Amino acid sequence: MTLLKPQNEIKGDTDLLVAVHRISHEISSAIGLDSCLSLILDTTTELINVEIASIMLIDKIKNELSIKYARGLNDKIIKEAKSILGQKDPKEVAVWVVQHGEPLLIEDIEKDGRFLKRNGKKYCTNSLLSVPLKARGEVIGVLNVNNKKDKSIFNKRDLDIMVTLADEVSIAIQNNRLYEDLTSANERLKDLDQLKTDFVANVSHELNTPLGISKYLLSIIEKGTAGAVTDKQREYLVLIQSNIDRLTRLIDNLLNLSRLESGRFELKREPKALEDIVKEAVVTFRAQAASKFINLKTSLPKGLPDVYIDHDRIAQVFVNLIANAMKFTPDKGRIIVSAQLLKKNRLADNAVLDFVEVSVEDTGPGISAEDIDKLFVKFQRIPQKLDAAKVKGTGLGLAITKEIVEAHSGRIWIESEQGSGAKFFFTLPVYDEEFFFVEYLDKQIVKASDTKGNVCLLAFDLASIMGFKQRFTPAQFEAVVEQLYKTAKENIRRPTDLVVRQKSKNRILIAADADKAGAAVLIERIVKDLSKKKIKDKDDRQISVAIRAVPLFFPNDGSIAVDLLKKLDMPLGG
Amino acid sequence: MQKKKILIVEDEKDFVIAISALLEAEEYEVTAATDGLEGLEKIKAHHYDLIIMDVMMPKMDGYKLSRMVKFDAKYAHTPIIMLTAKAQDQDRRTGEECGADAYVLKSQNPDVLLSKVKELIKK
Repeated sequence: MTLLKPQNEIKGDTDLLVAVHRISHEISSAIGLDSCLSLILDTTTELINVEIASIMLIDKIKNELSIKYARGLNDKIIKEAKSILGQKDPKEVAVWVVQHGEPLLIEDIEKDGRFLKRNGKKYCTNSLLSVPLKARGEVIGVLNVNNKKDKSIFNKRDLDIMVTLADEVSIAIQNNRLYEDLTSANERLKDLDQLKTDFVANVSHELNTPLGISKYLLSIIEKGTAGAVTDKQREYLVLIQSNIDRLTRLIDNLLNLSRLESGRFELKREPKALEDIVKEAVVTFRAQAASKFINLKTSLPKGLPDVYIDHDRIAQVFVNLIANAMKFTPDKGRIIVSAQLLKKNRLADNAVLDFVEVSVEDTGPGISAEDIDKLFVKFQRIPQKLDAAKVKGTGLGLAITKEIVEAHSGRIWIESEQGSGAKFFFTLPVYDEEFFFVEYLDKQIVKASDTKGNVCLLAFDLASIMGFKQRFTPAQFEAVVEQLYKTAKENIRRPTDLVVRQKSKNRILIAADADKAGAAVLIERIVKDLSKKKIKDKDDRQISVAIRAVPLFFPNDGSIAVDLLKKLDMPLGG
Repeated sequence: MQKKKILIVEDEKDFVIAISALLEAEEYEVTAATDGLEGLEKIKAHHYDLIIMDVMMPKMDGYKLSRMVKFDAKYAHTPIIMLTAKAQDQDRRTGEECGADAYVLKSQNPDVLLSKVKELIKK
């Protein structure tokens, strides 16, 4: 049967397949270029049964070809063997292969006559085979073998093996180059990011110091402390003040942008009364509004619940929106800041929360529908029909405003018609202790998994102790829970630890940066402190409160906040 | 009534002039130190009702000075306001961890500093 190959050749093919498979595996497992190429050379030596095998690579800058890896050659030769590329009629086989980009099989170098024969004690060539290494069609080096151990001549099968192995060498080298490029690019990016962060911190310091000094001195002059001020002088002082404020806003926005872009934008959220922030913002613009005879007023309903916000950032949102309205509202116009409660809004993840909807309305020229879409894009400024000199800005304020609002899970939008003023709306979540505790706990978990830090969920449970609740009137029990809440708050030590009262379960929860020992210390402190408090039951007897404390840890007890909380609801020992 | 004493630790001379003028107008007695070390010596030698300090200063920075004051039982009750041009979140947190009672930015309206001073001295 002609289809059957001789037994030894079949075995050879299988060996090749197995070897190639092994090499491919090594390449993909990223063991490093050195060990990969060593493996290929060993395989080559074994499969083709040669005295010498070598990989030569091109150094583009030096325009030379040199041995990088070899078997059967001593170190001195490896170091010295270098060939200059680009010769017209090369006398070296490797150079010929590089320049022609195709394999070369020489049965006997003396008979062939085209090339130099090396005659050394340890390095002597008779028969040789050289195959180009190609990456994306470009020759990057050669794979050589010299002299079969059994003194036979290289054949077609040897050539096939060499071509296959040369491919593997090329892949390994390309992978390695890509990897090195990526690593160094990554490092460069890291350096750049650090540079930018340092720069921002320095610029922030350098710009804010002179601004601050000017602001302080101005306010002293304006107050008349440094001597009487005429009306005309006061008018100019207000102008200087509002321009310094403009510069401050500009710097804040640029710094915010830089922080947003470097991903170092972290909200420091607290429950806050919206009214305070609105007041603060409006006060900043009082003088400016007065100078343009603009009626700047607020309309907030009484009893709005606290919103869960980063005070400084949301203050920036108000400043940006009011400054924007101020810019476009003509003299004697009107700006109204108002708010209303929106009950039960569904979030993207299906959670339900109350929101406060805030609006800033002006009597400016309004915005056309097509321009509304462009408003929140960075550096985008709407072409104005107004006097261009009158309306200045970087086009950053609204883009940053949007980022800040959305980072608070809020929404921002505009209602406006050309010619009839604009109304900017945004929403902020109402503070819901339990809801944001879960969010906070998850955030701490993410941080801990990056830094190998600790997260402990500590629960103090009052309701689960049999018969405990029955010993109090409902009002007394409420007071006990409140007492525990206060005691826990007094005893946490780190600014990142958070205490909440889980109203639905009569539990106090603490998210603490603590390991087992730290949690034990915290529990002991709270229990000890609570035992000192005078608590009376409904028969007016002073009793000591027994509390059950359950410490749960990330990641042992759960890898997300919800899992940790679920575990709390399981019966003991469950 | 005796005037309340405030120490300002700040290396920017112009800022010292500005803050002093602002506080003196409100009937406070103001003393200044131009670096952290001088500040610490003054704190050890005299009584102050409040300390206002910068963060970035020669010889000893505000974080260290704050820690030395707050961790010494003799002075720990003295309220500290960090008045700084650094606006990074991390800096604010570091300030709080070093025991500062308030953190005011130099770019904020001077009335913010004034209201914090009044609030902390009253306590």
